[in-house]
Amino acid sequence: MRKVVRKSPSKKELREPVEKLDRLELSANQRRFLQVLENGTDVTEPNLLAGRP
Amino acid sequence: MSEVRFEPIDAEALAVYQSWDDPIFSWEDVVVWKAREPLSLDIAIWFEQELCGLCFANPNNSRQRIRIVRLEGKPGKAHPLKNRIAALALLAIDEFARIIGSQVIEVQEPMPGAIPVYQQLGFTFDVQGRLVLPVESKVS
Repeated sequence: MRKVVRKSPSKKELREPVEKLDRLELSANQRRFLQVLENGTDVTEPNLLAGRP
Repeated sequence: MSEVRFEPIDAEALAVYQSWDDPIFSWEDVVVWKAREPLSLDIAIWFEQELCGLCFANPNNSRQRIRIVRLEGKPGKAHPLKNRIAALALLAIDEFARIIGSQVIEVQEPMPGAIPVYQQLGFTFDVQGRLVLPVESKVS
């Protein structure tokens, strides 16, 4: 009977998602939007954001 | 954020928004606007099966400027994308603006309470007092 050896992810494999993000071409605007997406807005976002009722 | 979806404001979105508590806009108007403005952008922002925001933006004739005409988050204190609706809408609008060659994104009639949100996203007031964000080219 063969012994099953589970291979732990290598450092290279663990690094890959971070490197993929680094490879993305993002504008400064997009980086700012993503930062707000990650952390939320500093003030509570009102439901009505643009337009007059 | 993998459960976030951007969809057009279709029949499903229009049906779901009507179940919101006291929505501000009548989003059925968008159906007429879309027919009249072929380059307009309508976005329904979903988190899984929950409709969290609706947006309509439209470029001017020269396409140099794209205006956010309406943007509304789901009413109520809590939904999964609370405090992230403007950022999500702008991710889509910014990409669209680049595709059609717009130079500036403008918030038409921003509510005073929403201005700090836009400023955090990079908007400033121009000399004409319009709340604007220049569209940038991508950098690596």
